[in-house]
Amino acid sequence: MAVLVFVSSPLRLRALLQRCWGRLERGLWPGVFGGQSPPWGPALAVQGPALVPQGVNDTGEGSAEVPSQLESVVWMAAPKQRRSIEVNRCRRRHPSKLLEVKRNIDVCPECGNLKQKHLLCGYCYAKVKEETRLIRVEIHKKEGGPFNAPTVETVVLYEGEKPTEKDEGKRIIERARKRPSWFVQN
Amino acid sequence: HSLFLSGAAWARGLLSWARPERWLASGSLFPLSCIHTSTSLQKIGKWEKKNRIVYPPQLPGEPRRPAEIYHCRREIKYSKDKMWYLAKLIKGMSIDQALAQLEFSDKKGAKVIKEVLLEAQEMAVRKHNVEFKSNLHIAESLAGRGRYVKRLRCHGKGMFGMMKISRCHYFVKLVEGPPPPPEPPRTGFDQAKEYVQQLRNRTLVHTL
Repeated sequence: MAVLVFVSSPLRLRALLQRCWGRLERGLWPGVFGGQSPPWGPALAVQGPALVPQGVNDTGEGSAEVPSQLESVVWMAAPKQRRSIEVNRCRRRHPSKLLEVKRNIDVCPECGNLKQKHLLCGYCYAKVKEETRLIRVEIHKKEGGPFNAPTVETVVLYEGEKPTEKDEGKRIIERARKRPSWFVQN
Repeated sequence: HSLFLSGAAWARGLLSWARPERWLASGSLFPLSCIHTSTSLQKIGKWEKKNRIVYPPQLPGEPRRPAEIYHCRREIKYSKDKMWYLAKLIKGMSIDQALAQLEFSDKKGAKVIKEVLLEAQEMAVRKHNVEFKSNLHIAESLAGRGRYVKRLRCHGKGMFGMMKISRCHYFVKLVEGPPPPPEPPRTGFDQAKEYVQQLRNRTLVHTL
């Protein structure tokens, strides 16, 4: 349970830490140590040469201290040194991070706008989408509401077109405009 | 325009009760109509002023000076670091190629830069005597930092952090003519040649 806190100045950081410490001491965050008593002893104590003149009794308790799981939370990765702007620039301007020049752009033969090779031309697609939207409006006018779709096929006829013998049992949708060049009639 | 007129009218209205003509000893009236109200849009940036320089007419023998068009957009709601990648992409390209690349880029700043380039192209044709709108290339393209605003960002448990809302400026300079050929990459031979030249340039200083 690590809480990320962004603080603007070291004074505020100190105030924040003091508040957190106070809360811990008063038991306002009882869940932190999993119900056990907070072990305020040293996190790691190793038996070594008596550098600190504290007496012989302390050396016995020193080596038995095993760092419990709870103290392992404290050892988190943190940057040791501030990264200089030169180092930052090397990373940010590395060729792998720069944007690549796209080589798959072509000209659409229909409308002359640019298109990507593996995708449809945006302009032509928008044109077709608009026409199909108007056809759907006509269908909605004919049906008059939801769940009224007939069980037969639909044929779209433009100005001056008559239904052929192939379109015998089909539903006919009329559109009041000239047939667009891309909508081929069967 | 309208700002200037409204400002002058306001000033006239304000001063009508003061009647400064009474204060002046001489009989000449205070010309209220030509009050210069500084209600211009804050400060005109240095990049915008670059379009105003006028060169003296060229002599008959001189090679033709290519037209330069400076354009920019201020306070774009985007990060300057992210905008820099797009600016770096289109540096040195012809305007058509740059527009093609930006159209199919997924970045938010690509749309903004595309608008800026189209505006600049139109300005070039209308005002800067450019004959062909495709005969332009991008000489310089920069991203700069705009005004940042600090805001509160609420986390859980009553914690908060300060976040900064960053904005950026985008500057572009279009020059008439085909784009310059890209520089050939520096080979080891070039580096060696330069090193030898540096050694040869050494002299003795402070001597006879």
